[in-house]
Amino acid sequence: MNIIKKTINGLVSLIEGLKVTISNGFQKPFTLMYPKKKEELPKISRQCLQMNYKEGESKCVACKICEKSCPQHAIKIETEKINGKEVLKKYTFYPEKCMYCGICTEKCPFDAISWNQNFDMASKTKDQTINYKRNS
Amino acid sequence: MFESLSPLTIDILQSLLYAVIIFTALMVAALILVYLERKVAGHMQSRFGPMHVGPHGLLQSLADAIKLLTKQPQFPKNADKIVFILAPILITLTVLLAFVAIPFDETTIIADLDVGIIYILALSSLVVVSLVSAAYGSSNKYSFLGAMRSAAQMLSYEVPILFSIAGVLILSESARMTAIVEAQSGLWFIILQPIGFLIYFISAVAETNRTPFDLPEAESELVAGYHTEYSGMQFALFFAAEYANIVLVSAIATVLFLGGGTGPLLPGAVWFLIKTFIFVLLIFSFRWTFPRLRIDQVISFCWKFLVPLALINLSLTAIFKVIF
Amino acid sequence: MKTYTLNIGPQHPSTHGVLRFVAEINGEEIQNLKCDIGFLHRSIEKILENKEYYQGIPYTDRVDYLAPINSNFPLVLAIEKLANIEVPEKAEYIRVITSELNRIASHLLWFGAFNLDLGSFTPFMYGMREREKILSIFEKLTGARMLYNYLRIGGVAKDLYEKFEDDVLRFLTDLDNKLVQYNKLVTKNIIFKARTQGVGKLSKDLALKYGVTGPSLRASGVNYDIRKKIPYSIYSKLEFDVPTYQKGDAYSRFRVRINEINESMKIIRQCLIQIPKKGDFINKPPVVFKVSPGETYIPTEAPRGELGIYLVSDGTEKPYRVKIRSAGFNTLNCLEELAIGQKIADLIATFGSLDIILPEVDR
Repeated sequence: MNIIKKTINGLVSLIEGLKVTISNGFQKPFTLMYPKKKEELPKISRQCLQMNYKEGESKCVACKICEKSCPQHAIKIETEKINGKEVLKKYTFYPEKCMYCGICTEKCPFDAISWNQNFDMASKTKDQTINYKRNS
Repeated sequence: MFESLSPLTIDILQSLLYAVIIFTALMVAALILVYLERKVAGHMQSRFGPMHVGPHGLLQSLADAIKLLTKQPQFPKNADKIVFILAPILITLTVLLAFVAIPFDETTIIADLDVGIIYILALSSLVVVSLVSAAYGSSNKYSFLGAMRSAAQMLSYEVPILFSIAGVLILSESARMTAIVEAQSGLWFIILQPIGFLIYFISAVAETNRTPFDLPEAESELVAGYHTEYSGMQFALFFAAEYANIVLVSAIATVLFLGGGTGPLLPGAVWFLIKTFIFVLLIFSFRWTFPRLRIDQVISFCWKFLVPLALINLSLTAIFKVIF
Repeated sequence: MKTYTLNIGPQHPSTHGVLRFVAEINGEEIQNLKCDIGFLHRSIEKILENKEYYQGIPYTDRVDYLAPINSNFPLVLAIEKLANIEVPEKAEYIRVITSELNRIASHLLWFGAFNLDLGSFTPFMYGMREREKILSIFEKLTGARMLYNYLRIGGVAKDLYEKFEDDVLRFLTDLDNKLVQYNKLVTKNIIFKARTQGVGKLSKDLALKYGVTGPSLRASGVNYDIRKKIPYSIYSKLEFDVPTYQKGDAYSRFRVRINEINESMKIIRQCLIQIPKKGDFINKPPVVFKVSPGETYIPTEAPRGELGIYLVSDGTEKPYRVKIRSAGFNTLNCLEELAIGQKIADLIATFGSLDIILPEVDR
């Protein structure tokens, strides 16, 4: 008797499993057809660092707080002396060294750098990549 | 024009025409089934299947076939060349030959043999020979081990198939395929032989090396399977033979248990296709739902459970046939 | 008798990581097994000696990247203990909610990977689908999908956004329905039971001898959960059970983890009711941050076992030594004794059910 009970239980469990997958087959799929349909990322998502500008000039004051607090040394700031003050000359960000932790934007007191949602940085020609580096 | 030829040449031309028809039909069916399996698997897993090549991915199988055709065939160093080349041809041949004896309608059949079902069974046992020769020709230690396991599995599951078919033969009193279809005009055999149908279906899934019995195939995680050393068109032949085997097994299940080719409104051939299609879809959904069994569990399940159950089924059928 | 050596190479078809087994096999049974680790060593402990305290937190994310908040927790607690910083109550509740959400995400991924080892593909996709919903919630909360860098010394980085409670409650009700389906698909399946019952029996003595912790220990009959025995944060205020089973095989470990998902859902629901509506989310330490010299060890309950950090500080802004005690290292050692006499397919099932991931072992 035990064997018959075990067999029938086993068969019923297999049929229940089939019911789950087959009923799932008739529902709407969960995936998106990327790249035809894209989803918008939330505004705090950390994909690429960008410099903020105000009236044509960058907000960065060259205080070098972000350079000191970056754990991976991914930011390099070059300054020059104009009228006795240190002014920003060149701000370099290395996206290959960065670990996207977000400490630099938290520590900046002037809101000069922030994150944008541009993750699609692959390109087919070399000029586009070099252009992107100059703008950031 | 055809009156001047002797009857022998007409016979030869006719068989040649049938061979070409079966070959093209099965190759096209294998292509369509590969695409269908990927779509069914995708929707069961909450995703789309292939969607990029052609509208809704319809040309995906064609692209795969073209890619496989243009690959360079590789021969391992110490391989036995004749055996190596013959193995995929042998397996395709045995599966194609079995389709000669299957009735698509109540009367449409290419060769209405007196020993119809026994002939099909004999051919499906030949698949094991081609498998072992594929492994022998590869001269690879691990693929040989995998092929040994696969051969053991396929040979042990011939026995329950034989007993379940014997139950059907008792009820129909003839081994001719058209006679079996005729004997089901009153009541389908699935109602008279439910246990026999279950045994046949489980053994058929094991014969075609599909999940949950696909340990020889998926052993390629650790140890190679029997078709590792093949590439290009030879691999495509193995693949197509596996899908043709699935269609063959479903077609036999339709004819033996569901009264294949008969139905109320539509012509017989359409009903045959619909019933075969249901079984093919069922075998596909097994693969994407269940995990796989270990090899010693597979063999002990066959000999300790299926064979006694098949014997009980056979004796009960015989007793009922004598009484009624 | 003659044995042959099989190399189960560094690449696996499942998501355990890079690990190499060298097995001596006779026919189908394993006679001897050796593990070869070190492919994923990134010297996290040495790096942390050269960074200031707040800079070291993103590196602990990468110790166990499937549950990063649980890996941040012990470091932050150790620093706060040595520096005597108090954490506001709302921040504690937020920490516990995100920690338990991460536990559910990690167990869902393990559920998928275990089934992938055994051969069925659909539960993997279902586990990923549920985990995707958790990652979307985290992206709106912290800004990243996987390595959040969310905990800070003295609290958390950002406050909860407006619709956080609705999102989480909607996800929890959905997960309730899906768990019923997964029980029908996997837990009661006769083929799954035949593959996992009686396989990889970890006895109580063996587990205690090697220092195994976490769900693998609880499936062998020992009722030890750090959240109950040495409570940290606000776990002493919450009510939840600790599932324990007696047999110690792969099936019991599976059931322990599925029950833990249910318990985590209970904890999250209680926290969402008890959390104070208004409050600070961080108690910011001074900019030049120095820690008094001393040493401390803080154990926490990560999804895989006990994750603890031993911190030695000498009064400057950089720690003197940080030692990470991970759960996977101890569990991997007992595999060499468990595997003798098993078949290859059973070895894969045992290794999958112990839930070892290599970044934790190698650090």
